[in-house]
Amino acid sequence: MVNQTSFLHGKSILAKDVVLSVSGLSKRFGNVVALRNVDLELRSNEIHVLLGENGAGKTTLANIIYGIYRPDSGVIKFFGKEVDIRSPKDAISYGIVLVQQYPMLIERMTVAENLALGFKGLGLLTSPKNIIRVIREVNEKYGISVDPEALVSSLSFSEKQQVELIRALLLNVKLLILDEPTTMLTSYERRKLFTILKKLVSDGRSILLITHKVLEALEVSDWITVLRRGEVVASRPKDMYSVDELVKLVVGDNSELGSVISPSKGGELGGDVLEVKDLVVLNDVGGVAVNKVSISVRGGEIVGIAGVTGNGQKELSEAIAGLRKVRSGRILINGVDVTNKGPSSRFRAGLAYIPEERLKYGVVGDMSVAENLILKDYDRFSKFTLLKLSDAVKVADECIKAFNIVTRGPSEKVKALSGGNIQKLIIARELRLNPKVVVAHNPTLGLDLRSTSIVHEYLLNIKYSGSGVLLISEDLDEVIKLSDRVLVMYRGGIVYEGVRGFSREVLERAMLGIVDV
Amino acid sequence: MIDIVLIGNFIFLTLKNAVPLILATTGEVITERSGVINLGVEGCMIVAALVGVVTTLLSGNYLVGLLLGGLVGALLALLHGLATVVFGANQIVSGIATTMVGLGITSLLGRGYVGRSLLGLRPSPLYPYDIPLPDYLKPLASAIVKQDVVVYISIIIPILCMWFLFKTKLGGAIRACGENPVVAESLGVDVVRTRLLAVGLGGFLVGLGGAYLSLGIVGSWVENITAGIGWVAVGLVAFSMWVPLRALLASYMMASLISISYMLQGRVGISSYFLSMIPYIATIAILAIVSVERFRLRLGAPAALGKPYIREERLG
Repeated sequence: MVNQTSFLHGKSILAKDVVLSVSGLSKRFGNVVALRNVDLELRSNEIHVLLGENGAGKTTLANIIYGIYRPDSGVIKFFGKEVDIRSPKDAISYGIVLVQQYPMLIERMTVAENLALGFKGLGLLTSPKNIIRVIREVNEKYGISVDPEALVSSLSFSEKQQVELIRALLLNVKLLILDEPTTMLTSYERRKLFTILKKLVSDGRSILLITHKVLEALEVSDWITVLRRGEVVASRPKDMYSVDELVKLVVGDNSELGSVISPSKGGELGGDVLEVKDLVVLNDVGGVAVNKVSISVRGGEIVGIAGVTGNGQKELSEAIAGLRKVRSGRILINGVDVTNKGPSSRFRAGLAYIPEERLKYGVVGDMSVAENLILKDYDRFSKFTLLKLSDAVKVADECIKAFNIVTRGPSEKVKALSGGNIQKLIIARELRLNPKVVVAHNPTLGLDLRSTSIVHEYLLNIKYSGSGVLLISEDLDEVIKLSDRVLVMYRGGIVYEGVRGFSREVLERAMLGIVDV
Repeated sequence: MIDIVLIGNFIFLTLKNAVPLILATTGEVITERSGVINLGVEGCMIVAALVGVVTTLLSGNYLVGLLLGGLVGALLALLHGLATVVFGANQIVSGIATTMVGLGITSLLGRGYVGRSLLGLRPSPLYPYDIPLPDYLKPLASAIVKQDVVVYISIIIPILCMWFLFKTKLGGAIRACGENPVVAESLGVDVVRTRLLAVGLGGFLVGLGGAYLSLGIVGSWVENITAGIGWVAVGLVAFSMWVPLRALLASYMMASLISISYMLQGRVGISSYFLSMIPYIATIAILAIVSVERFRLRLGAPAALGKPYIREERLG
């Protein structure tokens, strides 16, 4: 294939060294085949994109190269030599660094202190400040603009990601693996990241970039390998793909995702089911997180709240759910003032809540599927204060069937379920109670494409059934796709409001606080 | 006119009484900064107090007693560390068990030492000579100057710990373990080893404090000699917002309360039992304030305090 491409493009790819070569790699988890006989060749000075749906095996492959998983079979060669990578530590010693989807940094320490932790060139008792100079050099060379003395908690998502890049450079990275690095970035930040990555590559390093976005793959890569259901279906220079072909390769022929929902107009709009008036909420450290926000959601519509992480969305959703105190302002659910009431009176008024941290606030991991499903109305399942679990199991069986929850049964512990199935369980529990308004915070965070589209379908069904949805999401695509109206949150306030037909660009600028008058 | 001798006496007592509090609080600050609560402070102190007396009697040198007291404090703390950091036991339960063991074992093994005099073996003033100052200044000056060497060391230690925790890479690693052990591990910190180090180091300082209690303050072994000082130190850790220099100040504040309650006994018409309650009531008040979760984080409590870290098993 290599010969063929060099013939087609007239430039010699043969001259480039093969940095990483993977051959015959397979990995199973129980009965599930995650990777089947995967071959991959990554050359020096190249950005190699690993493209595929969630669940195609991209992250598994990256984790194997980084030593988090061990392959069942197959050979990994690094610079021509066969290597046995047993742990991330091994990987780092070879010069392989993985930047994970969410920044792995200590929030309440400075950038320099964080970077000093794994930095070999410092004695145990030397000051972390001694690497500030090194950080500045790296910053200058690659056009990174992170203040080494800033607290990590004060940085934006994209800045934290750049700290991770600096960390990789300090570790003298030869092969940098990035797992879905752009999910939480605005397009401006994404372009900046790509500029940095291109500099890294021109500097003799190689990059393996994992993404599920086809256009992004075409934008940044030199070479694209498409993974589908654990198998490599194509691997060639990017110029040899067309967009349509690439989409087909990614999704496959029998697309079960064909049911792409068109969020056309629903029925008639009802009355206000959620009213938030001049709401002020503080964050954990006493700062104002939500500043005089007013929102109203009517029955039969989805109102989206977009924004970059950390602009008050978390505090807003917790305040509406009754998990966080309201400083001033009012919250009305279905006309009932619940401002200073607890969560239970809110759900009696008709509120359902799909929390962001589903394991922390959504379910009790050590309790069974059935127990979790009746958590909100367990009193209806008890007689003389004793719980009648047999009734709960009956309800659970219905929910499992109706919502297609993959589980061994009602008595399985919830923490054994996958993220997508836990989310289905939460939605099943919330919808069972016929809510008037559903507040969903990042409902598809970390879910694969299939689970995501299922969740989206449920949210739309809620809307069609005449209830309202407040969708607080940091995934702009999701907000655009589902919402009838969008509000953009920035630094605790609503800076933009628009109805269906919004331009992505305007929303993104608003997310950065740039609002055109 | 206020009695200058009385004030001198008060300052002298406060500086001395503060030593065990400073050492124990600073030690526990280091331990808790790594994410481990050691409620065994009281137990570590009392065992160290007994070991200090016994080894001083055997060796004839209180410095030996002091250091061995510190060492035993570290060992006992490491036992707690082994249970909680290595085996993931509940930190509260293990800590309280450590205290119970300490209290029990010392009252059993200490019987033969009750009342044994340490005459000539106690820490002596660093500057025992007469100070060439006018009479009205002498009591104040000698309160400060005529202390033993440990009193001065106890002032330097929090400063050193300040530097250690906030200005060195190892100190940063300890704090990282207390903030987010999962991330710390991924950044290249060996969480188990670092936490054990912090627990041991903290235990050593706690032990020093305990040994000074019997050697420097009381001057002999008495059953239940700590009388809750270890618990007071645990309270002061939160009150000092996990900052060693604030631990120094907080300890002096608490020690002045202790000294006042001493000096008032017999002088005012309040029951001495009530007066000796003052420091403990203050501790309860402090703990009540700082135990509100959101308030704690605002104060600067390590985010992962008390949470065990177990290296994640590989999936599949």
